[in-house]
Amino acid sequence: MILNEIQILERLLDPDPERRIIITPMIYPEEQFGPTSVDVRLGTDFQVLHRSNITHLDLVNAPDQVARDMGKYMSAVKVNPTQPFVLHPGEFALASTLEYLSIPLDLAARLEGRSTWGRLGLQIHATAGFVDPGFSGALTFELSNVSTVPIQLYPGVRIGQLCFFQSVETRLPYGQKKLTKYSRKMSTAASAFFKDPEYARIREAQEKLVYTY
Amino acid sequence: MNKILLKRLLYELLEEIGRLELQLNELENQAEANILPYVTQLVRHMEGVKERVFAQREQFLLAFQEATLDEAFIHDCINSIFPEIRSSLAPVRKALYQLKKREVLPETELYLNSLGLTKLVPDAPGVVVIPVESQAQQADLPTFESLIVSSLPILDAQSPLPWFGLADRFTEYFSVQSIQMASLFEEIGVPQSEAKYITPVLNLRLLGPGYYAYFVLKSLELKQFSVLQAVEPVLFQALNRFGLVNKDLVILHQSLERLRQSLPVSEEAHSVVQLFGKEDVADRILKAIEKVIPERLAYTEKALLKSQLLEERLERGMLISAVPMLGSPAQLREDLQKLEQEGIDVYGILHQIQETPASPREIINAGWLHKLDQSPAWLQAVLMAPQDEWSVFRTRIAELDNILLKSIEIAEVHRVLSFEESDALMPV
Repeated sequence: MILNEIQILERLLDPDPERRIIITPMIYPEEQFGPTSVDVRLGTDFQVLHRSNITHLDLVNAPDQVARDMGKYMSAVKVNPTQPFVLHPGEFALASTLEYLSIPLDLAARLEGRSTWGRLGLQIHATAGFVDPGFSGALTFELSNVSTVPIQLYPGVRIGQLCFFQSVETRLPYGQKKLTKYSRKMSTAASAFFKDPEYARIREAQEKLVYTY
Repeated sequence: MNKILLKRLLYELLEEIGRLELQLNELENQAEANILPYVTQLVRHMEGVKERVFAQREQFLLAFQEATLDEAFIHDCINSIFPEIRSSLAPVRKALYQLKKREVLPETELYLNSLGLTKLVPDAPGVVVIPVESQAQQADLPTFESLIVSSLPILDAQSPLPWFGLADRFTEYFSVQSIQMASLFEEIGVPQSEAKYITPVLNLRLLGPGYYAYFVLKSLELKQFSVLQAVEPVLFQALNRFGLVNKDLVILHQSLERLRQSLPVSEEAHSVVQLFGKEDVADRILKAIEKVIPERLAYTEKALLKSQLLEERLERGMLISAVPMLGSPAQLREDLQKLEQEGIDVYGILHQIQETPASPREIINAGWLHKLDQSPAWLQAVLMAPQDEWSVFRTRIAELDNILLKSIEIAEVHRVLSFEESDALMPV
């Protein structure tokens, strides 16, 4: 079941902190609320990919080294409240919501774009629009400009919307998962894929095993 | 009661070590290969310092358990044990200053601009913040009449809690330039050149109750006992008079009271200590300061209420850039029920959940209230099991710093979007 505006409001005002949805700062709720959604705004910091002198990210390296190499592919860009971030055609950048969010254990959420921006060719997520129950922090936008003109993005503009779905209360909240990598982040975080345990296992296997095929 | 003071001082020391380590780790991740071995050596040096502190953990834990703390021990800590440890941190600080990018964050500027020096002194010169290796370097910086030069130790660059120190130059300038302040100095018989005895009181009025804790702990760390002896009683009275009292600050005051007799006072400061100890003098100082920093520029009781609301959010790890509604959520819930039954316009309720941006002072004070409330437990945990808990301790420091920085930044975006007076500098 998708929550309507009254149900979202009830959850925002719930006396039980465990059941409460948190969205802060709530700057103009009258503008942000829709029939089944709440608009979220663009934050101030971005992570952009650029060309590097590294041929590839070698996963056999130690995670510290991979993290350092990642730093050579990505740079952080921060803009002030009156300064735009310009996303050029075909470019990709990570950003985050201005808002801090906290989702209770019996709700899941989905981040969607707004048609206003879609009409300009802005996509706000590529693949990861689902928000787990128990998530806290700023959400990540995976911004792509699929149009042919550069798009100016100012901090605080409403570029996404959140819908909430009722679920049975989870016993595996996002923040308590063993492999949580992005919980309680307040800013835009680059991918920490190298922390996935598969890579440690592959590294170990590469050292031990020899395949003949 | 003295053990509270000892706990606070030990926490400050460990926080400093934690912050140095965090900055070294950041440097390690960014450093070019040619300097990486040097950074690794610095990390090892820090390990040694930490080991020295934790080698005494049994002694600290025992001291915290005893009914009465051995006064000689706390004096040893203030006069020799802690300063010696700090002196072994100095080379690391120096190296960081050489190797790290020296920057003053935009959040620091937002904080300083929000203090409104130009509102206190309309033709005030600009304030420039210069990154320095340590606080002691402030005195070495050349000064100019046309500029107020504040220094920011590199260790504090990304940590808003110690930014209260940045206001010193600012209020010093004000206390020397202001005609009203000149008449106060004349009235109480202290030369205006001795502004150091008055600026902390101005700071408290401007910055809020967290400044009291900052001032007491910093004075003990820097062994500025004379200024502490003279000013602290007036500051404590100020907390009461301005409606800024908080339980942890009362406990800190009581803890200091017990130590007061044994803290040395320099000969030239003796008369000031006696003068400021008189109730009518303290009263005159506070009355004058209330006039020179009016309510609209001061950190008020209402601001404290907001900081307390923010502190509750901080306890849950939330961003504290905005102040929640000051009305009753219960009433809103009731309205929501009526809305469903009576078909009232939903916009009426939506308007009431709108938040207002918090000021940098409200955010930093919330940080101090949170730290004062939580740090004894954090300290106890790390002393009980340093091997397991040190990384948790460091993470807590880093998270608190990050939340405060992010909150100051997001609050400014909020201000711009809601047409509130911005903390950014206006173009001339």
